[in-house]
Amino acid sequence: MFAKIKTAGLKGLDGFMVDVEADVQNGLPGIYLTGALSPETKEAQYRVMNALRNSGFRMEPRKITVNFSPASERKEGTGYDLPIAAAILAAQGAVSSGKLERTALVGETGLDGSLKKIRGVLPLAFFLRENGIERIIVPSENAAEASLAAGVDVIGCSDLREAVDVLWQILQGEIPEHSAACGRSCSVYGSTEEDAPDYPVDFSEVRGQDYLKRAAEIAVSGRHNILFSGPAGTGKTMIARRMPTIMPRLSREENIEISKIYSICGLLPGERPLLSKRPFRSPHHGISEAAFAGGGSRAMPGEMSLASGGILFLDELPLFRRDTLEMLRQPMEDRKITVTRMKGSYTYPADFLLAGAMNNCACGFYPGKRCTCSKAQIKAYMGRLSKPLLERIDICAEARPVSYGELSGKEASETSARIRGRVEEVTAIQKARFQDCGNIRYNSQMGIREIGRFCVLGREEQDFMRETFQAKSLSGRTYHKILKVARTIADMDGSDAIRTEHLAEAVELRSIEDSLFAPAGHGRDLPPEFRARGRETC
Amino acid sequence: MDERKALFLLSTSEELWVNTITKMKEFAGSYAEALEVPEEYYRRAGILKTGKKLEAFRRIRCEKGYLLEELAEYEEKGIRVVTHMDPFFPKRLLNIPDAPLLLYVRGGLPDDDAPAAAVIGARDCSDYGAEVAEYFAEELAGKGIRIISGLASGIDSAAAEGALKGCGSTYAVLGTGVRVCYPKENYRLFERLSSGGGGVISEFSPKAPPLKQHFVMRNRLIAGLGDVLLVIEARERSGTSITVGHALNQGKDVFALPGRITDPLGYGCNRLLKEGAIPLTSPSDVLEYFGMEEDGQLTMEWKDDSKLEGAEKAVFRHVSEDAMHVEDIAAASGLPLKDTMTALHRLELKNYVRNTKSAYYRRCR
Repeated sequence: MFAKIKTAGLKGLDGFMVDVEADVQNGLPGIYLTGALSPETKEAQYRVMNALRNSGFRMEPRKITVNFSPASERKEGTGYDLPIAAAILAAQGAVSSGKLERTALVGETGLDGSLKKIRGVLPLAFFLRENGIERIIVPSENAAEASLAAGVDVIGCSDLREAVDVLWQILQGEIPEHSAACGRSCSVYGSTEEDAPDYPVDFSEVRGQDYLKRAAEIAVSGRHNILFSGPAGTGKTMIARRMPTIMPRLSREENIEISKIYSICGLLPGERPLLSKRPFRSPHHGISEAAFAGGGSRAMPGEMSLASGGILFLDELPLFRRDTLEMLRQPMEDRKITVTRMKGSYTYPADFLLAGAMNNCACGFYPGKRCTCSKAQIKAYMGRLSKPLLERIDICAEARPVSYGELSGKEASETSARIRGRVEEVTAIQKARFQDCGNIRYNSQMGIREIGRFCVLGREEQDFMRETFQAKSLSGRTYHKILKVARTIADMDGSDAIRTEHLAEAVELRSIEDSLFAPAGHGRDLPPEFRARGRETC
Repeated sequence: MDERKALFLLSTSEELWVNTITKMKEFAGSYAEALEVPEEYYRRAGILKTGKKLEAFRRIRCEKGYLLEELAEYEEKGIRVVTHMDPFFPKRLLNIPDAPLLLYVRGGLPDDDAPAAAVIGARDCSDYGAEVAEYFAEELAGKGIRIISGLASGIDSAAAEGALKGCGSTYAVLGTGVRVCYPKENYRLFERLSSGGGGVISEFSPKAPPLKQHFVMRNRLIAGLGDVLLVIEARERSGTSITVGHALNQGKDVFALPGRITDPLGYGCNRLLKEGAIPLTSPSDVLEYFGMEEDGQLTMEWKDDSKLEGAEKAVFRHVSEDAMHVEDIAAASGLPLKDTMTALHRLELKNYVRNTKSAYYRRCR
């Protein structure tokens, strides 16, 4: 006898509908699974048979074939156990699959018949809702997460027996009582967006370092990537860690987008499955490319995607392998990353703000007196920064050692909430400005055309920039970065026009790329005829 | 074969150095004949004792034609080969111990009758040291004194830079060949020296790489080309002490810039002063030494705030001679951070302060 059960699979963050078809025929007893299955999916044949028997269902000694349609799409993960079990029971006549057109099942079974939580329920639930499914049966541990997709009934079950009971009730046209649980969870999690995000750290804990704090606020306001440099122990990491706390509050849509990524990685807390905080990811510099960008045999999201909507913090930037950093280039332009593997290509969001931190030298004390590095060593250390990466960093802020007076001082610094208030205002200004500019949302994303339109300088300001440009021998790229940062500073000041003081601050916080990689005409573009470690001259 | 070419050939290998070549010449009578003497004779006479020296000599004789082609190529590229027999060989170098037999020169050589001062000091010098070296070189070069340095980073390049600013001539004695610029960031300076601003000089063959022993050897030429030696900043044990030793051996006077007693970069100079070096506090000290009279004492002064107004004045007062962080300057002046930044930028454009590193500023002279 033949039966069909609806479920869905994930390919990256996108889903695809899967029909699990079971057919029971006379033949050599056993279960045969077909339809491009990954090894862990295929193992279902052993899990499911035992789970069914241990739940008290009698299995007929016949040949069972289970096909996953579309058979061409590769299926991964263990969420197909429950639909397989349901399809087999339906095919054996234990339940009827007739009225289950608008019901989908996902979940993993244990050998005792219990249902276990799976990864990626959140994106699955949203996908199923969009595809006309009205009811989803999930393991009870996943119920809260799935119920974030409002408008679909989520029924959490703790074991196979319970799931079969629910199916019977649906078939008989009864509304299963479990749906009450769904209503409750919706109300609990629906309120999250009104809650103030509760970060474990706050900007008021940072004493002194007004310069860095100011730089961090500018960076967050205009979404400019930022690099903190300076001696060890000056609070670079401390400030970066607090940058998510001053970013605008997450809207519900943004929140769900971010939570979907965490759902795929199985990182959502079961109790409160929605992330109310913006992520702060700080991968170690030894991280592999797959863990950083996403990938591995199952093409999971990497740190770049996990930092989406928040801060990707790279401490000790010069120590990262160049290959790893090069992976940032495409995502920083497109705000998403495409991971291509043999089994397909997956696209994940990667809309993060990059914050880097570095010492100025290997010993960590330059420019302080305790530094023991030679000029050449300092140069070599700075030279390890990747140029393409620096090109995408708008702000470089130099930290200075903090004095005892500041550390022990009583005067309270500003709280994150107050700074966030200001940042939200600036975000609103930018939103209004870029209404008709397509994909652009923040000052840092402006191209040459938008810079020409929104960063108009007065006569005095033009003179200032011309003199600065010549005196500091800036490159064209640095000039444009300065204009973008100055636009953000002017927005923070509530000023329509960019004034000299805004430019001066932007120049101060400009990228260090010019000092490391001199622009054309400064000696470095001469033919690279090196002999030994010197330069051949004729 | 003429003597110049013969000397050039003998000098192409570093295995045969000044002493050996001189001995060979004494043995054979002239450089040209020295090339013709069978190696066996040198070996018996105890002149070419080691296998390496014999091998070098053998190779020179084999590759004679090729090496002479190279000589022609150098001259084509503007590299002059000056031997001690030539009339324009610097007279100052004729009588120093281990006097070089041959120099490679791009640009010019310092005149024998103009006064010359060698300026040396630490490579990892302080901002202050670099500023002082630049100032002294600028003032002295402006008065016609040739500035000799080693074109290393730090004090050497600051001195060369200063001499060019003062529209004077400056000469660099390299530890590499004259076709190699080391350190390579001095490329621009190197170019200016070899094309008009003075000259670059080396006793090593034009493509010689920067080897440790080369730098030690060239120090005797730096001391030798100067009539006096000015030491700007030096650590307790450093390359400068070698140069100072050569200068004293050659009977030159040494000037030293007094350093702070707590500053490691001042130790070397202070020790020299204790041992009898002349304190260097003004370019006038050197001018006086050369008997060049000046009206009044030249003094190095930092920019003062008398021509400034408002916020710029308030900020400038608190910028010290050592680089300070913007936040410290703001705290000292009591102005908000962004006003301080604006003022600092205006001051920088007016050449009152210099931005040494992002967010760090110091006063200019």
